[in-house]
Amino acid sequence: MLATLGFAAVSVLGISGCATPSAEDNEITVFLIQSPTADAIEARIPDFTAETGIKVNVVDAPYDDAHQKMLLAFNSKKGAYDVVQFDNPYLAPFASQGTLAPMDDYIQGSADYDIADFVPALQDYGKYEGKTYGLNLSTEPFLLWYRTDIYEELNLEVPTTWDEYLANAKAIQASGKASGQVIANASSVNSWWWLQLVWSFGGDLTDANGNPAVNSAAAVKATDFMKELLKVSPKSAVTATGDDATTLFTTQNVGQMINYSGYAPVILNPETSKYTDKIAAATIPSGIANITELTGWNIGVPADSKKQKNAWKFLEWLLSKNNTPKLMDAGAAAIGRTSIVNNAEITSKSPYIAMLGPAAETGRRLPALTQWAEISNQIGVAVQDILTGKTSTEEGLDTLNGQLAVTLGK
Amino acid sequence: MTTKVAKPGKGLSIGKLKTSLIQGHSIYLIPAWLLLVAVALVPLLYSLAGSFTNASLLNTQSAFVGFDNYVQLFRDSRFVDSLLNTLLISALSILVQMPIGFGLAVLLNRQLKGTAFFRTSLIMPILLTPVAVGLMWRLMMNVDNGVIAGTLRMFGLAPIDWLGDRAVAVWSIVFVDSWQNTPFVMLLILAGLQNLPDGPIEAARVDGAGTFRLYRHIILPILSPVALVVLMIRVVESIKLFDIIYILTSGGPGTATQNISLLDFRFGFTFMQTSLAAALGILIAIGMMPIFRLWKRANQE
Repeated sequence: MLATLGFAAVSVLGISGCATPSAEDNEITVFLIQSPTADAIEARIPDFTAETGIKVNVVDAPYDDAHQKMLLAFNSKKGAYDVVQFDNPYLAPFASQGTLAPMDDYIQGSADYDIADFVPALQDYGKYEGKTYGLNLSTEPFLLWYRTDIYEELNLEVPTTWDEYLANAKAIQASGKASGQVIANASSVNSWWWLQLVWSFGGDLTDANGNPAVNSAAAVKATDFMKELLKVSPKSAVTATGDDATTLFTTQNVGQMINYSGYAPVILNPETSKYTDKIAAATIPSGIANITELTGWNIGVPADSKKQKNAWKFLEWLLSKNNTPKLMDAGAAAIGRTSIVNNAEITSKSPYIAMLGPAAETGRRLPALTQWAEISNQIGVAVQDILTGKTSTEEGLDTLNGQLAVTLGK
Repeated sequence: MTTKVAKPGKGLSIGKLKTSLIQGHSIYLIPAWLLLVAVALVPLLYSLAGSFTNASLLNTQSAFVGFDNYVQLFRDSRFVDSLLNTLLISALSILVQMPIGFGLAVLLNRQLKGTAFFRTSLIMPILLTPVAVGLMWRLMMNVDNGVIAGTLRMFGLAPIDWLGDRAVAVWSIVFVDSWQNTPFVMLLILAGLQNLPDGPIEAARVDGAGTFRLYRHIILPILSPVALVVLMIRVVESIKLFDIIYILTSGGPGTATQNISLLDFRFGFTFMQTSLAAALGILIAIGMMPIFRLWKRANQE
């Protein structure tokens, strides 16, 4: 009798559980990395909850330890997060471990998301080994930022080649009006700028067989070019990170800068920039190869999430073609949808956004390698050793090539 | 209160152990022991076990690899470079901090006019967090717009790239570390000076000893246990120095200021090779052991 009653009770509870979803089913947890984009997402969440009834809990962390926190959560396989924001270089390490859910079926079936609104380089931006694990949360290619007042005064043209860029830098430096240019040379980040130059000069990190090729003639030329750029930079540029380079450009007299479009909110904000109305953006110069390094946030769904459908519902809503401008209005970094970069209303307010279109068309993201963090550090140290004269370009790159062979297991 | 720990004999029964624990008051130490086991011993053993595996944040399945991580470390030039940097930074820091700290303590011990003001002012850097100290000096040492460069320019001197010149960067680290920690040396030596017994000093003075001989033969020998403890603390602290280097130079230019703690952080949190980081952590702990033995001996003396 007791067993029968118990069975009946369990049945009733079970059925009622299926019939009405619990409050927990209508809640998702989103892990964000502290940034203007994360703030903008948080600002949009109340609208999403009002429209769908799904409550969104936000957990955030600073960039420096965000990815480690995510990995620890993924490894515990408890479904701690339903949506995660991550930087693109972490796509390969995450996806290779099966910690992210493929999103291709959702994407292909969504008219609201409209994947065709992205150029091919951006359609592939969140892919690892053919499958999409991350949506584009921001599009941040390298852009050329320059001071219009200095260009006008010295009768300089916007450079279309790297040689012209260097010539402009030398002219600005020689005029005594400003430092010629600035890029980031700090060992923690210079690999990103260095790789852009190597690509432009016709080289690459690895050859067709995946063996390191950083001591190629093209890489030597690119590194020597970086040394030339350093000569026409502010003195502190040798240890400058991307943030430092931006600060130098926006507060000191510096004629030009190669930096990510994601810095636009700092560069064009009168509170953080002294020259807001004297700064313009253009696509970066081209070299032998016309390639623009592409960076930016991804956002995806962890494989251990128990609420993947609601997670997708949130992402589809947040990043739909119609809602993307609202996210940007809330302060998020620009997303390079074709409908955005060609939107006259948006580009008239922020002209640099028009540059994201052509930049993305020649866009190439950082290598999708699980060991990228270590490789980036090895490049950073080697390049800075060369820049500070500890070693010659050839010797430094030969040593680096050997180190990368070990890291890549070649 | 003195605590006697009973030495277990050959035929010690549970009952005797209980009695000796209670009578020797050791039982009262059990909560502290448990806490120590939980926060120090367990993590240490966990790290030790992890150092013999290929565990990584990117590798959910880890396997036993014996001493591979240790072999890999000794073959890695980054390990050797960072070890040399650690020894250099530590040695220079000690050479700067100990004599200056001692000198300041002697001056403040003289109770001259304004001593209280100077003592308070000198102690201020200890109250700041190393991250704040690093950020503050990073701004001041900027070769383009830092206050030091500006001051040098004002006097017609060329600014120095304190953080970007590899010949200067190590000295900058030593300077900032010393700026923050010399007052600590001063404070402890000052406490030692203020607790010196009057008898031997008075006797030496009566016997006609001058200041130099007084310090050389009376004060320094009496102060040596305190000085040794201060030295040990500063050696350990300078070896595990992290925050200031991370903020000031991030180990650069190149790896000119990358010490062993920063490399360990990179292995664990940047490259996500947690087993390699654990192996390096164990090596650091082993490297510290002789220092602790010296410390223990100094305390016993």
